Amino acid sequence: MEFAGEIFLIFMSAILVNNFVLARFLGICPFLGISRKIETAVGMGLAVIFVMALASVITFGVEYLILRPLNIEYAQTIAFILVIAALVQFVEMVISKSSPTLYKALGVYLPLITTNCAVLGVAILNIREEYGLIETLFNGIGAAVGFALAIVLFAGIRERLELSFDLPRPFRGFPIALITAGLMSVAFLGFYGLIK
Amino acid sequence: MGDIIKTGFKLFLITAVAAMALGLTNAATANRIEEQAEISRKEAKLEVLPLASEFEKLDFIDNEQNHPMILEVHEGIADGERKGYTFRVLSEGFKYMELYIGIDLLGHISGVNVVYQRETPGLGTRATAPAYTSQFIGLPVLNVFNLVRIAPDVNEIQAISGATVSSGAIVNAINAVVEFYTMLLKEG
Amino acid sequence: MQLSKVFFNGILKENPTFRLILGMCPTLAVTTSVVSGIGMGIATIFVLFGSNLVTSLLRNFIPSKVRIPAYIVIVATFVTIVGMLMQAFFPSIYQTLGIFIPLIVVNCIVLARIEVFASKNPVSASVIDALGMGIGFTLALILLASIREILGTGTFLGFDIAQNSFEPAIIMLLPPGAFIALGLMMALLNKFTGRVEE
Repeated sequence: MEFAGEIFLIFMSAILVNNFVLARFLGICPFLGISRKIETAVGMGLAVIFVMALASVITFGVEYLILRPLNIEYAQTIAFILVIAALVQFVEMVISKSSPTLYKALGVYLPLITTNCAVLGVAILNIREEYGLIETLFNGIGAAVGFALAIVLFAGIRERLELSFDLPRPFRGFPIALITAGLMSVAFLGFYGLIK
Repeated sequence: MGDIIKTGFKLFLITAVAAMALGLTNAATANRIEEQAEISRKEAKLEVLPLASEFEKLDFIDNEQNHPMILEVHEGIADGERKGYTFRVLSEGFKYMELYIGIDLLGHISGVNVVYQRETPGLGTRATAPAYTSQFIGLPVLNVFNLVRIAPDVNEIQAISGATVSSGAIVNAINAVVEFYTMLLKEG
Repeated sequence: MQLSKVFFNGILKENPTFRLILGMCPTLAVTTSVVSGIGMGIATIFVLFGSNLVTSLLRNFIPSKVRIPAYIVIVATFVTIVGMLMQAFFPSIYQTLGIFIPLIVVNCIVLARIEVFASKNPVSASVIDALGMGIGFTLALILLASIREILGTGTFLGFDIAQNSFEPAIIMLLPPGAFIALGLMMALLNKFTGRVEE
């Protein structure tokens, strides 16, 4: 029972308290670049959840079944990123065959998941925190849900921001995006007390 | 078909060279990295026994008498004189933790330094923080300490509410050292 | 191609942080102190330099179909090497930068320059581009880190500047401070260079 509680804690912590985008700075590039329309953000979020969950589990296997026994832990970076790249290729293939509309909608964003620091980041963090397999899975899913939450919220805000008022010209584009992200980050800071 | 083989071979070649480069760099830096680890271990000991400047591992201890939680014992030396002892202790909390505990020649705790822990952030980690562990500094190593919930008496340590297990781990570590130190004194 | 033009391109006209908007993750994460910023900058320059060099040398050898995996292998190798070197010779910076050292492998700046420049240009131009981009990135890091460190801790490069004249604003060290500081800096730069987005 205590184990289930701990898993829940890891999961909620990854989404809210240690939100990967707003607290850990992982996944910023896609966060800033993609999130201007809610639909795209949702699609991207779902794809990332899928990739991060799978990547977490597979890299876990790679670390403990291959790297450690062979004493080549230093190959972690190269092994993990190749696993992720292969995984994204695989997911691309699956989506293009099973749902061509979704594939077209995601467009170039799908291969870009490979360079999403959140994916490699969570894989490395799972190992550093010495999580077991179940914890790894839930941390991976939680981190991805946090990322998805952040980009969907952000897309919603930006959609309105760009339509509503006359933003001073130097602020248009990325500056206001960053400041918005900063304000969101302040809001999420409020979750720190949740874990106590 | 030949095209795929050629492509595959080229990729393989690149990967092979990369692997070799990594292996070489690893071989070249592994020693130095170990040295750095050694330096930080020494610093961890210095923090709990600041009077000493060098540390010598004590090996004479018989395995049967070994307290299972005590991983290492070092003698702290400065200017050729013994200044005290440092103990590297493994204690089970929510997960497990590793800490150094220093004891000076007067038989008082000179420092408690948690170097590794995996306790619950915000809860258990409060027990491993200096704010809590520093309460042991200066206490005599005569009797074991008891963990209590409220109103600590002499030789009683108050647990942090919500972090009883982690607080207990700290106290257990201290007690292990108390028992071991008492035994050490008897040995001479 | 004029090499000096390539070099300054990376620092000003196509500064990876302020113009190309690449490498945001480390920019926001490691700029809590100027020392960390410089450390990350130098590590990234190393990776950029090595990756651009090797990719450019092999640009006619790497088959186009497998170029992405090949690039990844090359970059990951340099990232691992720089990580090992840092762990061996600069352990405190290594500890501070933490997970962001292996994350250099997905720093979009590196992969972008390989794909866009090094794979299509001779070695001399490619390494100059790497240096220009790397230095441009490092300068951006130092700029942001200076603001965050001075306002957030009252120090610069570890030296106490504030001398108790003001209370440091810890928010600058926290995530919101990073976002807002960078956003404001970009807005300022936009204003002064007259470049705005429509």
